[in-house]
Amino acid sequence: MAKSDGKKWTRREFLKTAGATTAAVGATMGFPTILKYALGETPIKIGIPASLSGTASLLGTEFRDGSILAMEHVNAEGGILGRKVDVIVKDTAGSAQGASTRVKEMMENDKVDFIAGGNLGHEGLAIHEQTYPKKMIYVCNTMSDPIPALPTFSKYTFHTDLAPFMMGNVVGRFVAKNLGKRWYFLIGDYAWGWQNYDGFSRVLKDVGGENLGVSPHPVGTKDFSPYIGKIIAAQPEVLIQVAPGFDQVNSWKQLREFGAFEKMKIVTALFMPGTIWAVGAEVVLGGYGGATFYWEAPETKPISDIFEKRFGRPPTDDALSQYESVREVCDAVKRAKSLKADNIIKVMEGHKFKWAKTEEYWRACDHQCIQDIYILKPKMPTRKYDSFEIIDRIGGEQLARTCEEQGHKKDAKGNWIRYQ
Amino acid sequence: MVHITRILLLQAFIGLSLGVIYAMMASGLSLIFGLMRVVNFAHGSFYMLGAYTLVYLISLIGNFWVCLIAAPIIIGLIGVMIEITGIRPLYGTEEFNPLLLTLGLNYIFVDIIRILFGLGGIGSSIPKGLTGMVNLGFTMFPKYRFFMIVAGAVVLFLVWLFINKTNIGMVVRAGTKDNEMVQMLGLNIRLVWTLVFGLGIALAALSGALIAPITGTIPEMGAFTVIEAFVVVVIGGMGSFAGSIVAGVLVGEVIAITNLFYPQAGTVAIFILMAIVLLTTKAGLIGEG
Repeated sequence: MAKSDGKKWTRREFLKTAGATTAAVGATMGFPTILKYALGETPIKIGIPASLSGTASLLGTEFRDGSILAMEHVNAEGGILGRKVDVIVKDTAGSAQGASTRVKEMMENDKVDFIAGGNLGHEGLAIHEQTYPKKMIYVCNTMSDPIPALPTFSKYTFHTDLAPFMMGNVVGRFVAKNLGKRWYFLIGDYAWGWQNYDGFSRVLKDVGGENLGVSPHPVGTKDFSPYIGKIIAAQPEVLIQVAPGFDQVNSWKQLREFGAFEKMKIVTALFMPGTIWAVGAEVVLGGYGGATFYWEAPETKPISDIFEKRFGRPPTDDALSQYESVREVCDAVKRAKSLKADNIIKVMEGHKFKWAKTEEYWRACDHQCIQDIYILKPKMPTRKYDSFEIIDRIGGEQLARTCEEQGHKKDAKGNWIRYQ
Repeated sequence: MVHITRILLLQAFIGLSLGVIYAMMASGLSLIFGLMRVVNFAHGSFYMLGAYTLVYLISLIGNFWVCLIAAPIIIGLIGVMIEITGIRPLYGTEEFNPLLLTLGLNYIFVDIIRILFGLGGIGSSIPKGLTGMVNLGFTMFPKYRFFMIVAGAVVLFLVWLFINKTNIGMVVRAGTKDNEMVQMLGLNIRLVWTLVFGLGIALAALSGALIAPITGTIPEMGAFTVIEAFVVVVIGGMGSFAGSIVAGVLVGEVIAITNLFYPQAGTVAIFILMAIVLLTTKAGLIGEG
């Protein structure tokens, strides 16, 4: 086989070339998008690792905008400790390696004071591994079971987003009560997918339901048809789908194409409104799902309106939880009158707050943010973005695993034992 | 037993609908590589451009059928322009140069689409006449997937006719075996290269356009597809049009059947298949070495 200059290509050469190029593509996918918003000479810097490219790019964009709005609000209120706040957003490309590298850069080169963000479960864990050994406060905004539980837990990490167990607990119980108890699972084959699966499976066991099987798929799958034949053959009453972004859209589109909506109820652990707005609400009509925020909820509407005025669209749950993450860490510095991690931890543990929805609080034992969860049902929009109705809202500590179940213990004086 | 047979047949048809897309992607890639020795790393982004062009044209014109024909033609013509202005000057230089150029083009196209259409992708839906299911006798199957299989088979047959039954096709076949000899015979091989490059790109664009109504159309949609297409090319035999078709269908079936029995291995199965083919054949299933 000849090359363009007339020399022969061997198969080995072709494979080596193609392999090296593929590796180069993979390595450079994480090329950082750096956005800096300097507002003062010595601002307090908050590093925001966000997935601005790749399959979760919509989620990362929401993180970025939620962070910017929080920064603008804090600065408009006079900043903290007499200094402006600066958010430094870097692209993780949705990978653990990307998240780890960007956070390292932010800590070592940009000298950030805090980290807040991480879109996907594996990113959160990778960031946590970088931050806690440096005693850096990290407000983790990925759904994660291990982050607030031992042995992963660190006192320097706070978990704003839900533990998937909580989501499974709420959505799973709603499904078992209202839709059926014979379930099949279609899940993204990564940390968040399996953690959700664990939460839902426990509920199913509790209610005496039947688990008909699970099909894990790679994140970024475009064609779900090879999974759908098996799902239809299993004849479940309910299909539980757990995957973010376009995986959700593609799987639902193709399930509808194969007529699955006529054969079973389709439920997602978490609706991602940004993706659904992009492709049209008809994709998810007839299904059910959970949400941590919904922009039209009365308790959220005031901040949603401000966000919409600023960015031309309502905020998604990612934007709002990131807004809360940045506001909370800034507010903690204000209350502690210090940038020292131990002082900030002290004022955050047990603290109640209300930035974008009903009252939430940081549980002292595991730093889990205890909050309400919504059950949403899609509807045909009567106007843009009006694509869901809230059919239930469930909250409280009973949704989460207990402190003891998370592995936390108290010492003789009644203080939570901290290992790292 | 009947139940299992039905499921297997359904998965086989699903595999066929996947396979047609793989075959069209890989045959375009293989034609370009076979004749011009250009490893086209922008192939995935042309697939993505085909999908975006279809969806955008539908928003302007509204007629799916017209847009389905127009989208690959437009992207194929863009491919022709790129061959003339970008790749042609690199013939005869280091073999990595066209590869690096197409790799760079890949990033450029993805970023252009991000700027024009946003990060969030755009929605598209199955045309009205092709929604619903068709009765295959043993199972119901989505009409649109059935259309994909038929359309892909017709297009691949037409390309086969072009390569095997026309004078230009004869030059293409001769050029695949010995470029220099064809040039020495006084034939304008450069013109044929341009034509084949455009055809290969149009096949990638048509694959993207056909898949757009059933998936989300996002800027990065070609990123993994191009890797799968390279795997198909290697399995089929580099430069072999027939090999790409056979390997495309084979890969589609392997994915579909693996997902039925062991979904965790659905992706890795095609790489295992590639390894087996590499170890047991000299030049892929239908390659000539």
